[in-house]
Amino acid sequence: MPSFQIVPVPQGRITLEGVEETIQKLSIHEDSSEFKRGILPGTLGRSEKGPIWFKYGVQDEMEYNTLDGTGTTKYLEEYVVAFLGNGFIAISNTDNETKDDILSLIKHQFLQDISPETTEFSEEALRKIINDANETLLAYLAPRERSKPERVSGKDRDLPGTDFWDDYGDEPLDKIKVNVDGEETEIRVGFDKYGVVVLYKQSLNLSEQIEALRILAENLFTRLIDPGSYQSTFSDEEEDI
Amino acid sequence: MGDNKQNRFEEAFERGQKGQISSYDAWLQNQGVNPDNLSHEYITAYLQKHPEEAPSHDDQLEEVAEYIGFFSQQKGTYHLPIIAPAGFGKTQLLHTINQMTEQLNLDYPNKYYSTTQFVEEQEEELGIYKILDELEEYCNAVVLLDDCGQDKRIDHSLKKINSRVDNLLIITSWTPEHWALEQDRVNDVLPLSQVVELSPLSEKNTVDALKTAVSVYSSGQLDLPKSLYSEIYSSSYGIPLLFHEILRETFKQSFLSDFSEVTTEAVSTAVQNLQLDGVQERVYDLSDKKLLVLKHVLLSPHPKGQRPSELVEKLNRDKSTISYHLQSLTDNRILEKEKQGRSVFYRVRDLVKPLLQQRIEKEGEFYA
Repeated sequence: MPSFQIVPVPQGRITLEGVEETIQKLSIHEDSSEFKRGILPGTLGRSEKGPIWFKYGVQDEMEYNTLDGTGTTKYLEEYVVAFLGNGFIAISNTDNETKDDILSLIKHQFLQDISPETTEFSEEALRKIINDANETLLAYLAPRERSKPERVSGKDRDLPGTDFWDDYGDEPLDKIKVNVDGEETEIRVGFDKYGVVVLYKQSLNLSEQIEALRILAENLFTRLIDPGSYQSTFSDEEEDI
Repeated sequence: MGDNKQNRFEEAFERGQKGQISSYDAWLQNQGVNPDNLSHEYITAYLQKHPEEAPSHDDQLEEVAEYIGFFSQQKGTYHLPIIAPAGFGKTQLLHTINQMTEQLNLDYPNKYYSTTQFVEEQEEELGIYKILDELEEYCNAVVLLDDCGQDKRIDHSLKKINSRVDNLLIITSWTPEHWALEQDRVNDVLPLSQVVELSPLSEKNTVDALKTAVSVYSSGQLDLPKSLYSEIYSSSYGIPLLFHEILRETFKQSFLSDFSEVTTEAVSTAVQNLQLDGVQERVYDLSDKKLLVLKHVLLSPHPKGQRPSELVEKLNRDKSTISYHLQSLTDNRILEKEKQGRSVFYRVRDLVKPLLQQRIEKEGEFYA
């Protein structure tokens, strides 16, 4: 299931037209390293509703066994970077090294003076999501009392209506899955405290995934994440951004 | 001594050559029956694949076909619940409708689901969401939804299915007690178009269904006397679950009684062995108090049945009264019990269930 992390950026700082121009100029092929990293040409996509996206590629090496011994081959991992509008970028959930590479690319190509970071979902944010959701389908919780288990999880078609929720619903949340309103249909989406957003519908293609993220950005993230929560290396200059 | 053993060995060998061996499988083969085919699972799968040979609920099938025809011209949302006791052929009817609708080559899909799929685990998700995602692809659809009483959130499921498909004809299946319990909640989310009720089969249809079953078990090699079929009909009251079960048991009892072939005389032994002797009288003689206990046992959400302590709480009676009724119903072969750890679960015996549900439904007890 596709999973992403969300990067808040200052509203209005990145214009989607500017993104398109920059992306077209950059290519992974310009990287002279043995294992190349960079934007994959031909992956630029744009939806009528605004978002622009591209794929970031990371070359790596894997070993395989042959009759004559161990061989190696290069392979490519692809990660999505989507400019959703409303001050949010979504990037594929990945390891820290690749995430830092992508954040560095965003900083140097689009922001210069600001160091963007992926956001986490606080307990308060997860509670807000549950309160606003049509249904809460899953929750992983970490009870504090000694008499309760270290970890519990519940799955239902709407957990808050169950005895489980009466017993454990107030405990700290690690991860949730909810149904929230989309424009044509509901979006089944998971959030965890580390900031990972999971889209559960298996048949979504990339542009449908990004459309779902755009709706979440517009209707949900704007209410959950403080627009000033991005990292800035020049905090005094924020007023001018 | 050695020669004697050799002689006995050779005599046994010769008996075997003539097919005279004391194995049930060999005896069945001698009758032309493939032992692997003589099972509930085999005949169920066969009839679902060959619905034209299935026990006949023709009136109800036509009733549903008319609605499917109407739906093809007048889009909207329609709900037809099929209501019948266990073992009357609801699942088979849904499969028949599904296959026959398939033959119409409509420009929208017809989909069969059982609500048991809703709670299956699929990659961190409940199965219902995979089904809802699948249905979202369609503007129009005929959905056949089996075992609705097994879904504790059936109103939620129907509401969601209705929200995914713009124009929906949904045909659901229910046992009477679950329909009585859920119908108001269901009507709130999906207005009722027409109720379809299944009855037991007539003697002619029962005999035809039994002939088909024998033909399927024996790949057309065996036919049994009509008197045997009629005898099974009178002991099964035309209920498919019962007459299929009695037929299979009759094969077994014919073998155990050393008959050379399946005989009418073995039917009564089969009925006794399945504890169906006098079952209708036993069910119809039940007191109102016992019926009340049985209604709660039937509605138990636990697959193993109901625990006495839960009945004490639900019926607000003392423990000894509940224990008395449960023991009496077990002695009367209406209930069976299963021990699990320190708990004892009581459930209605599978073969008694259709008759019990029929009695309660006829008396309108579920609605009281």
